[in-house]
Amino acid sequence: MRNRELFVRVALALVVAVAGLSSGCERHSEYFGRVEPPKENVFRFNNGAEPQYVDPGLMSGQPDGRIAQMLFEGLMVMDWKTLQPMPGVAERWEVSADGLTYTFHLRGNAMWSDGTPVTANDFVYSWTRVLDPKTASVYAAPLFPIVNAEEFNQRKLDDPSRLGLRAIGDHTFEVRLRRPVPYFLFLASFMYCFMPVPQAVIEKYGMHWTDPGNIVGNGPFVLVEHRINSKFELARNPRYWDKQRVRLERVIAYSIDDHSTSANMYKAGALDWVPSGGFPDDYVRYMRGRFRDLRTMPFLATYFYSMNVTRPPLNNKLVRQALAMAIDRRAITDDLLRKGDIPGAQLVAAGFSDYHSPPGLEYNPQKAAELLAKAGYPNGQGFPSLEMSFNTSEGHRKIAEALQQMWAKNLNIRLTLHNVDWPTFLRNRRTLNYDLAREGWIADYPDPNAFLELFQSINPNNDTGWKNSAYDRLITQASEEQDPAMRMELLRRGEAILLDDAPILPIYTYASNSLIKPYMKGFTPSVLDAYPIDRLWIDREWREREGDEP
Amino acid sequence: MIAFIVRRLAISVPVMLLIATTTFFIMRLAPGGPFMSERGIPPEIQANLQAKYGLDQPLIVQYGRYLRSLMRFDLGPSYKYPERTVNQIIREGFPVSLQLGLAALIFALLVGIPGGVISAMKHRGFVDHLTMGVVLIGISVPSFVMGPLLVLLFSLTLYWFPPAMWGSLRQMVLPTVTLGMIYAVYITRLTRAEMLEVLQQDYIRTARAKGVGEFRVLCKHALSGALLPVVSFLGPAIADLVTGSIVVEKIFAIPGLGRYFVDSAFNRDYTMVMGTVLFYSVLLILANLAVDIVYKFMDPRVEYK
Repeated sequence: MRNRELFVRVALALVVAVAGLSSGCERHSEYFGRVEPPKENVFRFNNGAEPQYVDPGLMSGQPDGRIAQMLFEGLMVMDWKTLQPMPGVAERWEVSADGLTYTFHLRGNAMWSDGTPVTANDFVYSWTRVLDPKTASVYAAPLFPIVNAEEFNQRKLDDPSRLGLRAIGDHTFEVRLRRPVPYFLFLASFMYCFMPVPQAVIEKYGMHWTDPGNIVGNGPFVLVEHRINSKFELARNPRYWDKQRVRLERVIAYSIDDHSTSANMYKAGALDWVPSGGFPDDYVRYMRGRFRDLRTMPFLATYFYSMNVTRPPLNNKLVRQALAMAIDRRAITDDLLRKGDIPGAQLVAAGFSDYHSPPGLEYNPQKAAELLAKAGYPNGQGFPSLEMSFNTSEGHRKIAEALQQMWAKNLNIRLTLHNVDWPTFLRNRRTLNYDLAREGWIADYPDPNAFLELFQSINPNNDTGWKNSAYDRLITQASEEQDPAMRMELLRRGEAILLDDAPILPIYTYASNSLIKPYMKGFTPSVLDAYPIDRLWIDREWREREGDEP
Repeated sequence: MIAFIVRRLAISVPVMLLIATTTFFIMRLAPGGPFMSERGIPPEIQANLQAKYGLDQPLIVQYGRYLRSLMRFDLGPSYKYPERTVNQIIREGFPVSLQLGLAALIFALLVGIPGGVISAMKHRGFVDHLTMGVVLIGISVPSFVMGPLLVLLFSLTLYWFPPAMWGSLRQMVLPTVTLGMIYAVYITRLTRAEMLEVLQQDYIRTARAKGVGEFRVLCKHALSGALLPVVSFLGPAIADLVTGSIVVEKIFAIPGLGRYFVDSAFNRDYTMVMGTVLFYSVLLILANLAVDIVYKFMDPRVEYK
């Protein structure tokens, strides 16, 4: 008996010790976990899921893009703060008066990491390669405004020399467009498919050209090691034309897809940056206002629900409007999610300085009930049972449940929840095999058009069955308009039609929440949730400077 | 004996073919495909993609092509990570899973056998109760609870070991303990039970009566008899350990092969699903064969015809 008593005491003491240790460490700290800078000049971050591609001509994901941004440099690079294109390989450029011809003047000292110069021909090759149907690039479409590009990609034209791409000597690259695209420079500076790739290396190694021993790039860093599902290790590129500006010697980009593990690594001081979405949502709620390393920024991305307008009763505009007006968006963002998201009944994300969305169908439960009655379902009577689909995730479930409750309370209708795995969910959405489905959209380039083009009748992302010729006309007209203010006005009118017809239920503009150690400097805030890794640096005297802006 | 091995290997060829065929067709029943993405892909580009990977061909043609390349041990490119072949991914991932599995096994033996012996020696004493308490906890706490608890204590509070990743010795400690714990406690229990039984035997009493030292009695006379059930437990345990643990690999971000079992199916990465299934089938067939051969040596009464 005495033995057992002793045993219980020892066990209890252990439990108390563990609890005491773990809570004692966090007390009074302004920062989450350890804040010792790494001994070497190395920057370590969690890049999230393992990138699918290292080849910028084929990639589409954000983790892929962060690697590409370090290994390659396009004609222009984005200034993440002002969202303006800055000189990259091109030191200057001209646009013809009709907005159809772009002439880029390449700098003479731009080099591949194997020492060969980057020339205009490299861009002709790289852009042609993305458009080549044999390459099967998912992101060929952003290049379609180029003369003959779409025809070439769709095998209606075999001769790539008829594309609107021309090298005039080694250092002048001319691009001709089929129609003016006011945001073409944004596309070319932001999207990976516009980056140059090394022809000789690709022809030599085929699909293995991106392996660490083979790859040649022209960006601020070179690839040293790549272990799948583990990490990318990069080192400063000694041949990069602007190498003086790069202050980090090495970068390690981990591929940790488990959010808790990622947060643990950060807390233990093994990571200097965890980008948005790389740690559990619960941490965001817990850390807001408590720790200074959590940075919340609005993000050019929208969370919304799509409705299948080909199915009754959702083919009735009044029903759609009623559903939209019965959503208390602020309750979702401020009470339920608590991650800094911005509630909004608009499709275009908040955060553009030169564009202001028209008012959408804001929360108004009385009006919503009236609209539903007018549609033939007074107090929800006779309303058929509809299904809300989302891909399996706790976060999506929470929002779906909130919507379900709001509609039950405000309209007295019952919707059921239906979660499926990702490929099944996408297929159902694409084939219009759903009633209501969750959707999210991140802007590909910083322009309202990046959202509004989605719902043109022919856009492959329009998964609602909604077609509106007036809307199509306005969006097309806007894309040809040269006057910026007029263009925004046309887009605004387009969005007004979309919001009034309500094939979608916008809920909020995302906030990005990232963790950044206080000694990391150079993180300029950006609504694109992207940061110039090549401009970051480690401030070892950060404690003395605390309080200054990063 | 040789004839037996040859015959067993010959039988495994149709078995593998059956596995390959069933997996190939069942996999295609799942909705969606490897090239679905959040961004809508225009149908023409989708067609380019399907053509590039031969997915536009009739299923039976695809099956024929797959079998042909399988003859050359070529598992094709992964659809999820098209810059890598399935062979490459297995080549990179399996050694890591193997390392983790073997480390966990060694840990289990180093902890389990002495634990069992000491427990048996101090039967019903404090040490025995303590050991059995730990064993009970070890058996009841699953690795997805054990892992984070160890991380909380040793990585985030005491900062002794890194909370994740794989490579250095210090990084190996926590995952090894997490994965090996359940085996360690099981071996402790087995050893203890057998030791208690063996220690009652006459020959132990005889040895003691002859004045043999206690250490020698335990290690030489008793333990050799007590370890037989442990050895037979090791067979399935090894197979279990080296095939990689999905949970432990996830928690500690270990780039092993275990995760592909689940992930490739979710991604509809057809070639990767085939690759992992076939690779592990071969592994298990060989392991079973090895066990049968070892039995033959251990027990001469077993005859192979």
